Amino acid sequence: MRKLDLRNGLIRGTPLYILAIFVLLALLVFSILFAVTVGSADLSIGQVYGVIFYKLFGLGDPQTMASGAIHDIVWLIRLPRIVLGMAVGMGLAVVGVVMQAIVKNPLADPYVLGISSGASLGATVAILLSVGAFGTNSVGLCAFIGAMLASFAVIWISGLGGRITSIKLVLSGVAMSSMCSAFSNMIVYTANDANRFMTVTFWLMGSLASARWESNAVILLIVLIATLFFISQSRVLNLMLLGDDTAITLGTNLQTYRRLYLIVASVMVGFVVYSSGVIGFVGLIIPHFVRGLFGVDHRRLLPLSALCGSIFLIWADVVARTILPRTELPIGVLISVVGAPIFILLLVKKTYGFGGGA
Amino acid sequence: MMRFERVCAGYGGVPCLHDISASLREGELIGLIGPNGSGKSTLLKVAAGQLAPNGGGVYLGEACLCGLSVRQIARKIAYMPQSRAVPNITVRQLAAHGRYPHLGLGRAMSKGDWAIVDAAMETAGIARLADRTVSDLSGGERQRAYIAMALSQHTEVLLLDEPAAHLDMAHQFALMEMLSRLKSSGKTVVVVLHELALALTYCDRLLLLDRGRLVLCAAPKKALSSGMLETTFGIRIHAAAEGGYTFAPR
Repeated sequence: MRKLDLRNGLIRGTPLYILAIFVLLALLVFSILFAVTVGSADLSIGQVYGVIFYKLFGLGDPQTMASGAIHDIVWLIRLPRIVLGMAVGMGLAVVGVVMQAIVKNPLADPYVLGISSGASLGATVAILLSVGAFGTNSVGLCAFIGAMLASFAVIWISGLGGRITSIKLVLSGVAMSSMCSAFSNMIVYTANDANRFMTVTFWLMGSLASARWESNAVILLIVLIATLFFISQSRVLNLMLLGDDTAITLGTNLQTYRRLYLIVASVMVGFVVYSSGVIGFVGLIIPHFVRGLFGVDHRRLLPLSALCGSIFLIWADVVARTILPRTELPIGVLISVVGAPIFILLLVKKTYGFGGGA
Repeated sequence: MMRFERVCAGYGGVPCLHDISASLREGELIGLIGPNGSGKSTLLKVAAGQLAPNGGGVYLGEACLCGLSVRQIARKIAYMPQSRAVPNITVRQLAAHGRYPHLGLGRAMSKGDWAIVDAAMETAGIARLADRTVSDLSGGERQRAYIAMALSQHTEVLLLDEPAAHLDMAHQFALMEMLSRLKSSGKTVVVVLHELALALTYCDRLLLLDRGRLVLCAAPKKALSSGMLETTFGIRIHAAAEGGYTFAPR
């Protein structure tokens, strides 16, 4: 029997890779079509697809399909949520892959730059200090601004005194995180408002419930563009695993690329946080899982992770919506509960290896 | 081919190299030798354009390295540092990284690029392990995988920092034979060596460094007869009549 070779992936060869892409694409379409039929409201499959067909192709009866409860549930609640889940899953998985390459550490996740604590500080400020300047979505916007500020601060700090190294990045990320959470706690403590504090907490657990078509379009577009950008950069990402010294001998200064990738990644995560709060673990598990199956070559790792991330989040949201009667479980909680054991399982498999190494 | 002109260099204000001038010819195998801390690796880094000299310059033909971009340098000079990452990628993938400075904006490898990679692995004697993971290989095999990467760069100059370290005797000889073949194909090969026997046997010329100064630049026989090797290293060297050398403490 062949030994399980998780280092270079179980599945090798271009035909298998192309097959995997097609299988995942099919699975994604299936997941979307299935997820839209699931929910707390009891709709028949015919009703659901009736609305979608009417909306997409103008088929069917405008009387029942263009408005009303069924229309609203399918077109204004379920479908936007699924599309958002797809974008968020893709974004988190791709940023996970990129961050792990940048800091040359398989434990990096999209929030390693202190983005999540920056976002929570932003959200705390918005909710507890009632910053209403940005209208209805001021929480999301403040979180976005917080995330951006935190990550740019981390990039700036780790670039002080010369090169950005992975250690400086991780350490300044940790420092920024504790600073942001200290400020958040200070605000929570002084505001002394239990109700609003609950709102902050819920917001931080992550949810796709706020999905709307208008914001979805922007987020999906940004995630897709950034994903394509990173796929085009696969060779540089591969080079990052060899380290700065080797890259220089090959005529590439990784510093410039690292900075650029960090900025693109933080914008992407910023938008993800804006739309769905802080959803952890996806950026950690998905790349690990894909690397285990397909190896460390970013040319393949990125598209596969993007698809797996999308599918994973759609299903996670389906479960989050239906597992508890009459209420929904925060998706961030669900993913951590399911994700942590899977992650431990991956770690226990000793043959698993990351692309880098000393 | 490659020329050092009054090179001075150091790290963070501490000078390590003083006023080094030498010129290397095409198709020459140069041994860079000297006691620990004499500046061998530093000189190699300067030659590779990895460390900018504080004074003087390194010239490749008529062009000063200081005027070339890292990418341009990488197309002319391949450099294998002393310590290297051990990635979890296959030997072929690692060797393919060597084509990087030659790739266009799309970074796509052509058939020609892959042919060069295959030839490089063949030359480095690692072709039969092409699909194995680098981190699963022995020290000597990893060394060869990295040499294959350097060869894929297809450069006129090849700089190797202690490639013989951690190799057993047979592999050391095999390595030096390979370097001799490379120089016959017209490359200029500069190699830092700790094994004086290897340097004396295989190199065309030896550059002897002592405390940051170039104290000798000569063919092995002349270097030996000058007595400089013995004084610099503080040892006695005896050339056996049937070839080969014996070393003894002073």
